[in-house]
Amino acid sequence: MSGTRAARPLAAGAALTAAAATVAGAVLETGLPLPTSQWAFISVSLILPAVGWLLAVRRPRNAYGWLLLAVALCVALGGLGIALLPFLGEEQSVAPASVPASVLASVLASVLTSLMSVSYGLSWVFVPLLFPEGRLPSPRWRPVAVAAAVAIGVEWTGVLLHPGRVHQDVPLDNPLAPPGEWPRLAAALAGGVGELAVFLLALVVLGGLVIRLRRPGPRGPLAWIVAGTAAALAGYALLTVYGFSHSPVPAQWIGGLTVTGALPAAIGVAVVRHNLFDLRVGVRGSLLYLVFDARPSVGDLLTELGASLEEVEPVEQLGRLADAVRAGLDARWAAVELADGTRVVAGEESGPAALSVPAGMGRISCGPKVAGRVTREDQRLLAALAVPVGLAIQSAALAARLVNAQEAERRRIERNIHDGVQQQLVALIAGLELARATGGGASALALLREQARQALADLRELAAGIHPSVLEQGGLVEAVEERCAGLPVPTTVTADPGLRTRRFSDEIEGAMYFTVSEAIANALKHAGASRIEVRLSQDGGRLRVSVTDDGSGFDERGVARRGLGTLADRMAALGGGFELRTAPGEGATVRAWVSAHA
Amino acid sequence: MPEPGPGGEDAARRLRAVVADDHYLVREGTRQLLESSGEVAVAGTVGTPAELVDAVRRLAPDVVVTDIRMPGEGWRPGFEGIDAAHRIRQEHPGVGVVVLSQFADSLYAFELFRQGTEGFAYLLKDRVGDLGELLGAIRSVARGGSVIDAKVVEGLLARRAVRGEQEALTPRERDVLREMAFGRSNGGIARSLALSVSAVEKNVNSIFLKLGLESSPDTHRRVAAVLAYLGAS
Repeated sequence: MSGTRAARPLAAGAALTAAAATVAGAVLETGLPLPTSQWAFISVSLILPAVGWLLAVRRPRNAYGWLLLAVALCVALGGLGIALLPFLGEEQSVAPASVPASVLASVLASVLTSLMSVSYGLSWVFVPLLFPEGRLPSPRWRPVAVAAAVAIGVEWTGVLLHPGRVHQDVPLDNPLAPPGEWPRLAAALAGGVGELAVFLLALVVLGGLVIRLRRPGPRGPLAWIVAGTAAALAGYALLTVYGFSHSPVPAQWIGGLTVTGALPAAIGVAVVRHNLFDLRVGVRGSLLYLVFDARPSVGDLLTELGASLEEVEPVEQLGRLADAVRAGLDARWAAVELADGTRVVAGEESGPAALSVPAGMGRISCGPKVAGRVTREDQRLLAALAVPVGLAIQSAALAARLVNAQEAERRRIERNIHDGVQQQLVALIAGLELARATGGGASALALLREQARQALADLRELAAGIHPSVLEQGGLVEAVEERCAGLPVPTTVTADPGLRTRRFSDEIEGAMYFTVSEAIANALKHAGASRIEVRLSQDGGRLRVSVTDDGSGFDERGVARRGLGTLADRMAALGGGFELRTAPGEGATVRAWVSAHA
Repeated sequence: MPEPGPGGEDAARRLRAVVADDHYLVREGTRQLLESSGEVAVAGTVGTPAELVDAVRRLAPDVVVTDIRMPGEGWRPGFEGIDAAHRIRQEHPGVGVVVLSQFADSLYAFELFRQGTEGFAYLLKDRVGDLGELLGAIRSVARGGSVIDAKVVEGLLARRAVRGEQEALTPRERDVLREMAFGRSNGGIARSLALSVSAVEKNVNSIFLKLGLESSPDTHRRVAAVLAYLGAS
């Protein structure tokens, strides 16, 4: 943008003009060499143009930097004007205003001097009001801003045209004062009323800041501005009581310093300390330096994130990630969203997302930044965070699916008990009652005994399906052989010799056993297999199982992999792998492995 | 605490038994069933492995019928019945032990027969619905014989098949093998399978030949041999 291109020279010009005017004013006032007090004033006065220049260059679209530059210009030029007055006053007393050049100089000095009043209005009302975005905090403040602008304008007009001396200490009459009694009275009135109005509006703005300070949210920067504004107003009150003078008493000293420096210093601290415009003071050795773009690097963020994600439940991880995204981008809020619509938000979500990127099977979004606009750097940061966020989303989804699978498994068991053994027992009770009522003979009782046996056998099978005791007592190979013995289809189990006596952790043995069991059930139920082969082996620290059948096979894509999906999740949760190879008419092979070190 | 069973005039010629099961209904049901046969007098019923060992010391029964699983402090979980059986046989070599199990898994049977088969029977629990078989096993262990439930033998044979080991036996020979494991004599097998004794003898010889086992008319030794063969892996 052309505006952005012009920003740098414009900002530099304004800042240099302000600095030059400040120095020139100081030199004119006391002459060379400068006393210490003047040095102090110069250094304090230079804070404002420096901060204004920095912001205007870094954030040219933010009006705040330009506002600060305007204030700095007004202060410096006003100061220069005041410093010029004594010379013109001397001249006037020697040769009363008759020389045109001298009249011109008086007018110039008068205009410059009047700028000082503008600087107070700007810095007490607009500097705190527009902090830090260069915008009003809400439209409700518009009347205050308009009133302040009008008051500043009225005061300035009044000061420009006021009758009598330009400055009380200098015998120089205001060359711009209008002729006639009433206009002079109006000008004097305008100056006084404008000044009072500006001061009152400044108090209103300060009150508003204090109220904003009490609201939740980041309050550090605001507190600095409140303190700075309050100090500046107090300093002004101090100066009003003691008056300006060229040989100041300590109270005036302090008043002058605070009026000039408190607010710029507070802004500087707020900006730097709270990293408002990606500006921060760095310390390297004994050197103090300004850091631009002082956001955490992607590396910093990932390192911090890694530590905070350790030993945390998957869902909790999402919360931490949202926090990290929010902190890393300095956004008002950040949200991590799962494919199933689960949403974890850090901060208070409001309005549409300023930035949103896909992460794994979900998304990360974040709201507007606390300060400034979303930059390309922010986008880059978010894209980098998308990787760990994606992984966390994946693991959270995995955990959720495992929990769901567990729930489904419970329901299945309940249904099996209800439809199976429970009904058998009811039938048994009915049969017993019938036998009792009819005096049922030996054959009826034998039938009932068979029914009871069947119920027991079914229950035994169900219990083995939930957790086969032989798996716990005899290990994986024993349990798999037991599972495969007595299947209606010829089944072979081949195991590495060493495996027969090897024991693994409960979760590994359980997962492997159920993988085999489920694969066999699939082959029998759906594939119509006529042969099943089970292999168990261990190599390279991996325990592997494979189940191959010669059944009908199926189209992997077309099948809802419900049962097998659960197996894959279970293996993934153990850090293992799961693989299904099948095609219509070609049987199926299920392979699974886990890391299992001796 | 052990509950003394009812005594009687003819109790002397009955086998005296102690029944152990942590489940009251099963315990009482088994007791009544055994008593109803007129062949067994239940001297006491207990609910924990420690009580069982103690009851055997005090009541000196001929046989013990125990559940495989009975919660007990200081006992191997899941093996309480088996461990109690071993301890009883160690302290009282004359007492036969029938272990009733929920599990058809051969693992438990092998655990019971770990140090010898003599005087031990491993039956599935639903045999309580088959009084004849249960009494047969009780009589067998009381004599120092041994019994393995046919279902367990079937499971073992199936396991051999699963491991891909060639099955050398004919279906008839498998039937006979199951009966042998049940501790039956050739005559008993003949009655059970409705075969002639000579046909059973032929099959038994053929089995021993095929499996490379030493032939023995001693039914107890035959059980051990069959187990040794089936358990070899």
